[in-house]
Amino acid sequence: MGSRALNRLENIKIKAEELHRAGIIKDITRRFFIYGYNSLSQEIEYYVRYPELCEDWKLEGIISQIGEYNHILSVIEERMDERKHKEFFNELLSKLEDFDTVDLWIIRIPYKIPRCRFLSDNSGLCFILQVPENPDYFDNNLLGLLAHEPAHIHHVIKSMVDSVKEKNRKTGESLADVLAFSIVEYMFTHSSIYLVREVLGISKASEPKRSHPSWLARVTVLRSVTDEIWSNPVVVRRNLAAFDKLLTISPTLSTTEELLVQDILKEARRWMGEWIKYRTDENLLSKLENLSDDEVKKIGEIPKKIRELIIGCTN
Amino acid sequence: MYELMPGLDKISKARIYHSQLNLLGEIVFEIIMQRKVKIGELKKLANNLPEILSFCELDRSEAELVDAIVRELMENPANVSSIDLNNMYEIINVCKMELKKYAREQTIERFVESEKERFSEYVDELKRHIFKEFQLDKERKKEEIIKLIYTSPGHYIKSLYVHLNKKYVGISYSAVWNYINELEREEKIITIGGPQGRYRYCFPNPKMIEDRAIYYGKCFGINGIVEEAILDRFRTPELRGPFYNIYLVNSNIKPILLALPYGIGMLQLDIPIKAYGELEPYSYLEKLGYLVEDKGLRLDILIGWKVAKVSDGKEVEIWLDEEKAAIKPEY
Repeated sequence: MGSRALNRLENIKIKAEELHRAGIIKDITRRFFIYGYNSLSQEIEYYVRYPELCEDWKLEGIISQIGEYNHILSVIEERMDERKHKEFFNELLSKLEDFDTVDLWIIRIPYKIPRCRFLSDNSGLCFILQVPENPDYFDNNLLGLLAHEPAHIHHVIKSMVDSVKEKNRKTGESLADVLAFSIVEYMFTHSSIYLVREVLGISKASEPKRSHPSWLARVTVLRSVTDEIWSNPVVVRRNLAAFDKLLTISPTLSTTEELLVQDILKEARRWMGEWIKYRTDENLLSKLENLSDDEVKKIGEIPKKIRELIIGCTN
Repeated sequence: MYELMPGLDKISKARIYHSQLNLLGEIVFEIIMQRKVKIGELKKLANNLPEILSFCELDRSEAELVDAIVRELMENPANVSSIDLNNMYEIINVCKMELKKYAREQTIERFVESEKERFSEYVDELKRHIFKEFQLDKERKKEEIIKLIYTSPGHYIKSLYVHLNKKYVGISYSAVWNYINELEREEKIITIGGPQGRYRYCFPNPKMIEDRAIYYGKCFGINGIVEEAILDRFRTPELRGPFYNIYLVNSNIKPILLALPYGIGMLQLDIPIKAYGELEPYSYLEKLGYLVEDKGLRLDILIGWKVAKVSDGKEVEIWLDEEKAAIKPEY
C-alpha cells in the first residue's frame, strides 16, 4: 500500500490470522482484531474519498489504534504476555458474566493507567487487560485498578461505559470502581487468615495446596463473585443498598447518585487502606492479640475481625 | 460523504459521525448567515440524522427539534425562525464535542508500538495517502479561511495557518497571509491588530452579518464611526456594575453599542475605529442594571477588549485589556 502506517494496519490482519492458525489465540480474539482492522480500513477509505472531512485528531486516533493493536499482537507473538495472576483474572471474568470460552491476554503497555479492550459474543470473550510496564500487584490501589478492568464486562457497567455521553461514562467507571473495590475488599477479608499467618510466621507447611487460605479465599470469591460479595454481611451492610439503588435507577443516574458512588468509593478505599496497614505491621497485629475485653469493644470492625482471626490461629 | 457504513466500531463511528455533523453544522451556519439552503445536501444528511442523533444519545426532545427543523428547512425554509436555527446549531456543536471527546478518550494518546517519534511520521504518511489526489484551488482555500473566521472569530494568521495545515497538506504561511489581505480588500472580513509582531486578529465583516445572535457570548469584531456617547441616556437605578461608558457606533449602517471601562476616559467622537471584544445582547446590559427607554438603543453590545482608532490606514491603540484581548483560538 506504500506507506508504513498502512503496512502496520495490514499487519494487524495478517498477524491475527497467523496467531489463530498457530492455535495461539482463539477465534473470538482473531475476530476482535479483524473487526478492528476492518473498521479502521473503512474509516481511512472514507477519508480518501472525502479528504475535506478528515482532521488531524482523527488521523492521530487511527494511528494510535493501529499502534495499540500491533503492540498487543507482537507481545502475544513473542510470548511476552504477563502470566502472573492470569488464572485469577480468568476466573474473575468467567464469574462476572457467563462465557464458555475466555481468551485472556495480560499485556504490559508503556502507559501508567491500566485499561482493557474486549469483544464478546454469546459464548466467548476475548479480554485484553493492559497493565503498566512495571506493576506492583500488591499496591492496594493497583489491585483495585486491575480488578476494575474485568468489572467492565458486567452488562450494566458495559452499557454505561459504552455511552457517548460523558456523564454516563463517568458513572459507569465509578460503578466499575465500586464493584472492583468490593471484590478486592472481599478478597482481603477472606484471605486475612493467610496474611496473619504469613506475618506472624505461623507454619502452613502441613496444609495441602488446595486448602491454602489465600487460595480458598480466591476460589470463594470467584465461585460466584457478585453473589458471594453481596452475601458477605460486612460488604453488604456498607454497599448493597447503595449499589442496588444505583443499578435499579441506572441508566438515568443524576448528579446526586454519582456523588453517592464517589462516597462508597472513598469508604471502600479507606477500608482497604486499613487492611493493608494491618497486613504490613507486625506490631499492630501483636497489640491486637493482647487487648483486654474493654479495649476490644473500642476498636473498629476490621481490627476486631483481624483479632478474631489471630486468636483463632494461635489457639 | 453521506452514507452510513455498517461494521464500524464505536470509535470509528464517532469520528465519522463527527464529520457528518460538521457538514450539517456548516449548512446550518450558512443558512443563519445568508438564508441560503442547500436542499440537496440537507436531504442527503437528513436520511442519516436519526441514526447519528441516536448514536449521540441526544435527549428525545432535542432530537425531535433537530429533525423537525431539518424537515421544515427542506419544505418551507422561510418558516424557520433564527432562534430555532441557533438552537439547532448549538445542539450540533454539543454533539460534535461529545463525539470528539468520546473518540479521544477511547484511544491511547499518540500510541505507537515503538519509538514515539515515529508517531508524527505515521500521521503525515497517512495524511499524504488521504490527500494524494486532493488539491484545494485558491478560491476553495479562501472559502476555508472564511469558514474558519466566520465560525470562530478571533483567529490570527498563524492560527489559521496551523489550523488549515492540520486539515490539508501544503498551504504556506505566506499564502494564508495573502488570502487574508485579499479577503479584507474584498470586504469579507476585517482584521484588527498587527503589524510588528502583534497578532492580526481576523473577524467576519460585521456588515455581512444579518443576525448577530449566533455570536452572543463569543468574540466579535467591529469597524466604523463612534457617533455618540450615550451613557446619559441610560437609567441606572440599581446598577450592579461593572461601570461602563457606552457609545453608539455606526447608527446608519448596522448600529451596535460599544462598552468600555468607565475609568479610561472618553472616546473621541466621529472618528473611525476598529474594536473587538465579547458580543452580548441588550438584555445583558439590563441584567447589569443599565436601562434605556428608547427602543432604538436596545441594541447588541460589544464589551470592548481592544479599541484602536484608524488613521491613514494605520491603527493607533486607544484601549487594551491585555488579558482578555490576547485571544487563543482553538486550533
